[in-house]
Amino acid sequence: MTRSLECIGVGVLVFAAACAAPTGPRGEAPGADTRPLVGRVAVERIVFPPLRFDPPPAERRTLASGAPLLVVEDRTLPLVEVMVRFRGGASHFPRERLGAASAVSALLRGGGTRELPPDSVDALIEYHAWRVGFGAGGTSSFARVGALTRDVAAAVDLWSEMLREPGFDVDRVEVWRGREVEAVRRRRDDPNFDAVTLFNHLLYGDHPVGWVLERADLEPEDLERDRLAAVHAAIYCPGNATFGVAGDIGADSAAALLDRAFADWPPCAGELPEPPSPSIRSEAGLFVVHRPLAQATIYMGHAGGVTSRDGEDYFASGIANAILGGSGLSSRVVRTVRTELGLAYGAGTVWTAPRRHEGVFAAFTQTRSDAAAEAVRAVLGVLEGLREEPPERAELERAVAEMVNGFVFNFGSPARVVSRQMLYEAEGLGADWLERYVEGIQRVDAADVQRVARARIHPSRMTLLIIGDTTAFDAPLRSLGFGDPVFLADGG
Amino acid sequence: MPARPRIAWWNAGIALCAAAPAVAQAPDSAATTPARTELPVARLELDNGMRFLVLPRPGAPTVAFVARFGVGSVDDPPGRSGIAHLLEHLLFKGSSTIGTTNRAAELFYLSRIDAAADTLETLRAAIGAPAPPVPSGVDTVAGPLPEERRLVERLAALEDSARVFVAPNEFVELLTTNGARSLNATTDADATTYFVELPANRAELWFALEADRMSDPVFREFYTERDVVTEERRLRVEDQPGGRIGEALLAAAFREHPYGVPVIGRVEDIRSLSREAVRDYHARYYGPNNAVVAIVGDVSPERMVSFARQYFGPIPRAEAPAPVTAVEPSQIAPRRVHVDFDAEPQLRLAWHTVAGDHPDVPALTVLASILAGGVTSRLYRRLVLRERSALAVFAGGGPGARFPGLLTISAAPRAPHGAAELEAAILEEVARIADEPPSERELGAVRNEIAIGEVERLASNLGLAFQLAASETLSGDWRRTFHAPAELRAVTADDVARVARDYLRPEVVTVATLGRADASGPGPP
Repeated sequence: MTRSLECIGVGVLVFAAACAAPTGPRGEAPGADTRPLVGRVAVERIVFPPLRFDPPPAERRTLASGAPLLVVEDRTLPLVEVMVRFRGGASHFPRERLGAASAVSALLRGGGTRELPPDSVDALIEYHAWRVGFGAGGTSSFARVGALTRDVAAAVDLWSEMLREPGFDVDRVEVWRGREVEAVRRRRDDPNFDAVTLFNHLLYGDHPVGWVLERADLEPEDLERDRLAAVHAAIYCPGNATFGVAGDIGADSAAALLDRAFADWPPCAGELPEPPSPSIRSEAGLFVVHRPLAQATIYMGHAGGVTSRDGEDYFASGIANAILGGSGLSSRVVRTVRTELGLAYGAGTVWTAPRRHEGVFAAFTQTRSDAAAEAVRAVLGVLEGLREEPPERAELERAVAEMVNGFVFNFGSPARVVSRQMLYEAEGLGADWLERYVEGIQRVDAADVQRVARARIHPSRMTLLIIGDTTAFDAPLRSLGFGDPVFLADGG
Repeated sequence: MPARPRIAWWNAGIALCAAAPAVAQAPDSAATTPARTELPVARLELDNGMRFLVLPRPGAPTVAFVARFGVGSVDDPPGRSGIAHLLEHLLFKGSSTIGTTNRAAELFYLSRIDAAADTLETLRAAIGAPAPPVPSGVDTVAGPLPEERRLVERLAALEDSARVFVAPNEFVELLTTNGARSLNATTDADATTYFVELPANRAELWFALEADRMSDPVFREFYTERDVVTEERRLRVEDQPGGRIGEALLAAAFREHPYGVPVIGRVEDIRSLSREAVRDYHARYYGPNNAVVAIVGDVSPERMVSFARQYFGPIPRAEAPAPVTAVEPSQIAPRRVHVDFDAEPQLRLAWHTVAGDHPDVPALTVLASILAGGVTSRLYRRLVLRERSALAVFAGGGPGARFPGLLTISAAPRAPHGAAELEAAILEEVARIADEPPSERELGAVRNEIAIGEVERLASNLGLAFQLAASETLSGDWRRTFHAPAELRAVTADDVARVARDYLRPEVVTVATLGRADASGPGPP
């Protein structure tokens, strides 16, 4: 078994704990037998050479607008990718602005600019094959442009115009509105997507994370130009922005490129309000959508009780989640529900820990209707198991080794390094957050994992959501121990 | 709005198990880059016929491995659909030394499992129903006859006994604890592809593990994994409108050729697959002479070649697999199929085209792009932007490249517009290509897309490895994938008009629709 921990001590990273004693694979000295070694014997005698690696540095600049810029230069290919991340998303606006707040990023791409009608913008982008994208999450918004080096100045100029001076063309607004109405209509066509949306709503209630875009949010007046412009002005301004550039360009040239494209960018008019803190449901409850499907889609969870500022508990919760259901076939929920019981193709757990407030702990799977209760009990049994007993040392080591030995993949592409550094900068995590994270998880011991599981995972306080054919379930819903079922309207 | 997809043919194949990176003959060659056929690929063919392609690439010290076996669902024997895909799952179960805690004890139970399975099959053959239709989910506990039921229960009990000696997922854990990423596999109509990325210094581990499972696999936890695949089918096909309409379209378009049979298998076929059948299938199709490995990353080709010889050299060559002989007869009339399903409507139109090595492929690829390749494509502009009758529209080739496939256009109607209106509009735009061939500007956009795509494809170890392995398997030459862009660039407006006229004829279209029986209007909001 090759369970050596990689010594990540090169370049800027120093982990005394991991590097002190790399426990090399237990090699067996090859004997006189000259048959080729195969299988376990072959695997166990492999000795890995050391990994030499200097992570590419991200250079930092401050743009004329005051926004920070992070650059990773990589001359391998004649490509440049420019990114920006803005603080601000739908969570920063009241519920009645959800339509407008959801529309803006798509309309920056599709709605034209003050100077150029949408058709012209589309034609320019697709003729040159520039990679242009805009998107938004709950509390942040993103944009990127990619082009061959020879084209990049022109591409960035157009992209900047789209970002700063959107046209919000009325026809394109109407196209977006109609497509979103159709998407709402189609939400229930994908049981898993439907379940995730509903589950978030059950846990977060009337908090931005729990909001569901509905038909009623998509009336023409919800998307009037003034509303779109107000959302745009509040988010897309230099005080909210963190820029990043990766590829075939140096840091100074990248800064000059952006300063020219974003010259005279007016500062933000005001500060965005803090999004509200959620009050996440943590009491037993059973919610059911009856729909005659082949599988029951099952989600269960409650408030996660951890933020990324919680130090020891945060690292322990990351390892606990990896052991329970966060790392695929190696994790317990998957091994039990899939590998041993054959009840499901997909299963797992998530434990989110945002920066400013707690997240959720949740487990999920999909199984044939007449095994729904069996699958629920199997998942609960796995969760109880980690509360009752600390993980075995080997299991803990596997979870840590996966992250430590795969560390180099965090540097798989220059764009990946840049976007990670942009996140750390924007969230105030510090440029060395990744290194501190990997260090932190190596300090977690088995007792920590059990402690955080006992303190934070409570099967008896879970909200259980099942979408499926209740007439075919293998046990009465009430027998699951989550109380009386509350039936929710299908598609409502 | 969708970004313009890469210009690639054969992108609509049904890939199971993984979201495979872009595999197809993607674009190539801007003036700023050297001819990609000059990439320093080291090619090795072992005496047993196994081929290796190694491409050193700068960047972080990681390496991608792609092992592609020339066996896909087209090779599934009649009545055993899904066997290539089930075998792919089972190859993650390890070997006679990896994945077990006690080989001898495990073997004892495995041989009893095979005996019980054999008796069950004989019994089912005798009662004339190889896999009686039973309600979903009871396939492992029920059967119409008491004797059959007893045997099914016996099988499950024996597998539980064998499980005591299984080290679950040990194969996977050996890789992930060594930092592996992207560990997965995918089965499509043409091939089965296994892939993983490792830190570059741990490359040798891949050779040891892959050679072991390829030459000495143990199909343990077989019946449980068969249930997992049945769940995968429910998840991806039975409860998914896209899966339902996809299966219906292929079944309608292909009446003789196995491209019409689902990769994941028909449910009654999956239920009747046995360990013995999978062992035979493995022996036939997983010989080194049917395998191509591509290795891309921060590695020394000399070391990789030396590992290849050491670990894979001793594996004996297998008999050449039997070729697929079925030929799809020419379609002589339109075909139409409707899936009655409780979901919003969907529409697909498909025409028979050609295999991946046919000279018309570049023109068909450009045609698909002109029709629906981005927000300035003809169908997107008309259906999504102007008439607002569609939520989205796509076009592409599939389900494979080894044999003549389809060009398929997919669209989702936007209420109150219906599938019939969309279908008419799509057929009109297809016909218009012949009268109004693509303009210089339309072709220019395609060429610029090719130029940037040619560079972008070089940015990912795993993506490059997929392309090299696919090119070598399909055409016998890894360079082929890098010639495709030049061929795409050479496509003229007349070529596009000609293939539209020749292949996309309304009298040989296959139309699939999905929706509720009363699909006259939209469902509840």
